[in-house]
Amino acid sequence: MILSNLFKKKYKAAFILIVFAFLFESNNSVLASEYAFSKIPYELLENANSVYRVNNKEIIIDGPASFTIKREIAVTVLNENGENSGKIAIHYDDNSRARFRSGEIYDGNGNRITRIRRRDLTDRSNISDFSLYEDSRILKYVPRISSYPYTVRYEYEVSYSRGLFHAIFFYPARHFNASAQKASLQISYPSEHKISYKEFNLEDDAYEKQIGGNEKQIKWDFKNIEAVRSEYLSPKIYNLAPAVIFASKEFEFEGYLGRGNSWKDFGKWIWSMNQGRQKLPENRVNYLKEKASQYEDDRKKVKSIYKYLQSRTRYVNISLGIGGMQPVDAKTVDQNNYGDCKALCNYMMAMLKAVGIDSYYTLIKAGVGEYDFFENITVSQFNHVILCVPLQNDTIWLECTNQHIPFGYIGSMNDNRPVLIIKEDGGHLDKTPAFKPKENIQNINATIKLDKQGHGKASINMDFGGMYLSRLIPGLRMSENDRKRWLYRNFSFPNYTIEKHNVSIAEGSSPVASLEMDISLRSFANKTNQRLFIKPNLVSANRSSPPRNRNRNNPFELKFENSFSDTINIVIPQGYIIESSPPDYSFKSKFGEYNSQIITKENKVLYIRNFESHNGYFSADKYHDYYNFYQKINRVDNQNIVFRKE
Amino acid sequence: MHIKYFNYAVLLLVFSLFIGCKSQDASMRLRNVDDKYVKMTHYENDSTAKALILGDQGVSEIRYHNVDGFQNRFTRHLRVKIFDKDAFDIADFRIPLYGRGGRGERIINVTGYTYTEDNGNITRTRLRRRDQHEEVVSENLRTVNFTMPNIQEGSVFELEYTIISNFLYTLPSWYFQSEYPTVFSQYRIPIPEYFNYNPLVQGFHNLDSHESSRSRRRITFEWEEETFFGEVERYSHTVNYYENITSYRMDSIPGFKREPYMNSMINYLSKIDHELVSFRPPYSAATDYSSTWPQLTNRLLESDGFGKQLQNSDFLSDEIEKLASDYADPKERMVAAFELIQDKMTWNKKNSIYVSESLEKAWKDKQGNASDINLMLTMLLKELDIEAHPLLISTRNHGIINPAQVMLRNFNYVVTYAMIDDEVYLMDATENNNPYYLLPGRCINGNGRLISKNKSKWVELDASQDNNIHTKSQLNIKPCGSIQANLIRTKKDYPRLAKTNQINDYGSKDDYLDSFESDNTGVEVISFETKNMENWSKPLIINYELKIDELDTTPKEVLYINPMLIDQIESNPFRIEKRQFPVDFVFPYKRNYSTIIEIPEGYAVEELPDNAHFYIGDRDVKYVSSFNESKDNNIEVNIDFEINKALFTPQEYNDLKEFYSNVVEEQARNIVLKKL
Repeated sequence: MILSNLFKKKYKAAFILIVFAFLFESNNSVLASEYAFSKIPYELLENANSVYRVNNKEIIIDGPASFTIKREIAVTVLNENGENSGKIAIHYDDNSRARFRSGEIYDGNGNRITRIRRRDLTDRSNISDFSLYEDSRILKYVPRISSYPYTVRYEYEVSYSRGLFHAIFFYPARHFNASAQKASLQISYPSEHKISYKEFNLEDDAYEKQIGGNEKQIKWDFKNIEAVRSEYLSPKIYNLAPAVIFASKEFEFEGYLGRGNSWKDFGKWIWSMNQGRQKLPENRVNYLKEKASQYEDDRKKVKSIYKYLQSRTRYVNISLGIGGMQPVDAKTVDQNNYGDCKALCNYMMAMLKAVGIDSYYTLIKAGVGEYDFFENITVSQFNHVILCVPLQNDTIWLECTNQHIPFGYIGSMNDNRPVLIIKEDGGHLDKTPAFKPKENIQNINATIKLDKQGHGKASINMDFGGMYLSRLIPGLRMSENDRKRWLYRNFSFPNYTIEKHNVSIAEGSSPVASLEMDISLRSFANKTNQRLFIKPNLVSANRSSPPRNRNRNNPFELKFENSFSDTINIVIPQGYIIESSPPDYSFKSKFGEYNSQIITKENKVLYIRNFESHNGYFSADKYHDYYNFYQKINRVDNQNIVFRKE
Repeated sequence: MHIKYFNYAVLLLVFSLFIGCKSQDASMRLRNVDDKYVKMTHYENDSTAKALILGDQGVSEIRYHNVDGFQNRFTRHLRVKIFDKDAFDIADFRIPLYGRGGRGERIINVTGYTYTEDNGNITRTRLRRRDQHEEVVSENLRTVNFTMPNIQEGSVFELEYTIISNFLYTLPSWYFQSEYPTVFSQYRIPIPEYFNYNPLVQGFHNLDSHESSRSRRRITFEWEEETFFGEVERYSHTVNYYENITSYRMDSIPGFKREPYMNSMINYLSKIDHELVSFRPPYSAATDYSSTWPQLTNRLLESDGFGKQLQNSDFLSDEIEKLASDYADPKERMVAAFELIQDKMTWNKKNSIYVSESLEKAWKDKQGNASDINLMLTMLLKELDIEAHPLLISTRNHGIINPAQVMLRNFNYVVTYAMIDDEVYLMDATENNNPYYLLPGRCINGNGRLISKNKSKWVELDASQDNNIHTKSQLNIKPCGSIQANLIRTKKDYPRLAKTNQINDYGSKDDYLDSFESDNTGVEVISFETKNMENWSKPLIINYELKIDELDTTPKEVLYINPMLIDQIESNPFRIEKRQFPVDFVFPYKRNYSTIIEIPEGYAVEELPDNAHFYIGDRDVKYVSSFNESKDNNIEVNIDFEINKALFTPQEYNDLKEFYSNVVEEQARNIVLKKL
């Protein structure tokens, strides 16, 4: 009995093997030619380090609480810089399961070199640098092939036991410097399920939509998408190449059902998860009440509690399961005194509530210059939480994860962008304040006295405001010695020694951080037998310039408006007369305005420089003007004044 | 001996004994933090310290376990005072546990408390189990991650945990020093007499005490066996032994600060390691692990993951035959063999002294770790009748080798040593663009150990090849001050390797030029050409045609010209006043600039900078510049800049700093021309 069963099993296995071998053989001969390098259209090689021969994404939504993403990718790596495209990285977490289906590597002729099996992939935790713990994991494979081109083809799927509550971006060519020969995005979902999407740069002949079946289905097919070169100041890739953003309008996460029909709906979902998590222990409530009672003014109350938050808590990112969406309750934070952005905001909100001030949990996409937002995609496009405190006369925005910033300062990570304020009746779109050009400042005042040898003693005062304020924040809390090392690292005056230094901050509606520094400058004036050479622009002389980009392809985006001003007084030794001095300069362009002036009187030189930069979105043909504008500033900034012995 | 069950009672007894003896001589006890530490506002020895390690004590003991055999129990008790919020991350922990399954390391008894003053009262907050998270980092590594609760400025926290490990070849490393100052740090190692470990102490600070003692202990082995008649019989046997206890201690250790241009900081931190030398279990013969270099060499040569691999060359027979017949000259044969391995094999970026599986498998996969690739090269050379041996080294981020320490774990990499007619070649075939005679920069680190039956020795890994950069330029000056220039740069060896890598790393020539222009502001490249990019038998030659345009294009009365169009050192890289650790340039190098400046018609030299000549030590660094007017209305400028050794001690730092100050000053000098 046992024996015969065994024989049966063996026989069956052998049969399957034969069938499989047959399938593989026939498949292979087809695939082999398919991935040959020679089959890539010439125009797809331009600006490309890799070519996606196939980039298929299939999203299957089973209902609000689960979905699956299937991927098939075949990518030809053309050179060393394209190697990253050939790496396999499959992300998953506690709420999802990843299955690697199959993989192969082909040489330039399209012949298979090797198979990639599940056991060849390494399974690692994937915790971001700023996190102490997350449940995110990654299945990884790095091909080690020494000759180009080669093609990596693989299929995998990840099934999620939660709803799809964030937007999914699809780019046929995936990233800069890559092209796509064939790509598709297909989404299937039950007829009653609602979805939304937004298309970018789709030309009619480039895609095809099919809608049909019992289940609803929508599909985009892409063919021959050329590579977009990665260039300095390039806008995001969806501004330059075809792309689709997709969102599901219904999603469930650990029992919390949400709808994304509108921002109101989405906000309600967040509200439901946060509800009842603001309870504080009684002694804390009493303490806060007593603290707040010292002030009449609500603004001052908020400030005192914010300072208390800054002094008591610290930012530690631990995100687990639902913790990735739901804040740790205020009581736990009160005990541990640490938390992630959600926990700390929720805690701050609870503390304000204890003293009778309403504030709102606010979702935001943090990051310098991350201003893009898709208003009609009403699901999570966010990665951070800040707190909005509406007071009678003004609204205060609080970044709760930083212990060092001034009250009300949200910095360039959070400025000038749409946010979603979460209230009981749902989400409300609003916008964080932008730094005005006169707030993004870097003002320099210096006096330099030269001795006979040309050595200088300088006292410099620098004020930084707006987005630049954060530059000085590290220096604020350093010991004298550490700060000196830090300053030495950050300033590259020719030959200098720091003698005295101090960093301070003036809080207020637009706070300013100041650095005062006394330095001695060895040979500030380069001395020859007959002459003194002086570069008056000590601090803000531009030493680097934007790349020339001989063949600029992409438009460019200048996101910030700034003002820089320098006033420098130089006293030179007696016995010299001026031989040559740069003229005054004053020029402007779409990109900014620049003025510089040198006034010499006997042995005194006054150097004044003002530079304001503008923001805007410019087409590629303007790039050359932009480059020239900065080249000119550079040249003017680095000019010498020459004195000769009398 | 078959051990099936163990006796809980005995284990408990051992355990309580262990707890008992530990608290007896410990100077810190859990839950026993003096209030004065919580109230402390600064550390007297270093008032700027943001945190202070009040005490760090470790015990690494080896005990017998009836099921698992000998085990290491490493218990650490750490107590920290935090003065400033910038030091809060010292309360974050990621404790690594190696290995997986039953043989993997385990952590037990994680106990932690934070003591914080709150309105005059000192509160104690416990680290909860549910705030500790185990992360499976990779197949062989897990970490236990947590942060201490209720950390405030002024808080004191203490943490104790025990890691149980079956891995006995080395004992857990002990760092006496950290980023913050430490009041005391102590490491105690009670070990049965059966084990003999070799201690390795490193760092700039000396041990304050180093004590040894002995005590008597016993092991009871217990096991059960089924008799012929199916009954279970219990057996036990007791062995008495001596336990050797070694204790190391340092007091008042300053915080460690990084400095620029320094080799890996692990070379300078004060720490202690132990590697197993021999193991002699009761009633058995001793197994020798490592005690002398010859023993270590023999063991390596006989090991499956190293020496044995050099014996099977069948899989390379075709290549051997071909190389042997194609190249008669031994050196040409060696170079061809190197290029074959370099070309065929891809490095998987892993460092190891052992092969990953076997050379044959690596050859089949066309990829492998450093040992796979360079042992393969060594074997190939041997088969081609070229004297070749593996050379064990430690890469720069792995710390420098101390020849006095006979420890295999100090090495992490293998390169190939070959000798033809008394000429030595050190080779590494892992990278795909270096020539046979240049080791990658990561390998330039102290000495390597040659592994050979009868020629074992130390080999210095120096990089003092012909690291020359020669720049020949011709400057054409316009009356308005604009400059047009032709530069021919010749680079050899390491600077050349760096340059070829840089050019290749940029996707296109345009991208490279963009970066070149950004580094040399104001300079515009008109044309650019490289010669011998791939041909390592000749130096790399780069020809640039440049222009620097003046904003105002009217002719000037006086012209000022700085002959350093590119490469000008505008700022001193050495700024801090004092240096604690050596400055490491990795390799010595020489730069020479010879420039001819054509004086425009109608102008004459008004002023030339003085010639300069300065150096330190025995020409360890050197700068020479000369400016001469030639008969044919040209100015000839010649500049030599030489760094003639790689390593400078902290005592030499001031001289080096002064030298660079002078260089910055000299390179800013202008030539003055005047209209006739």
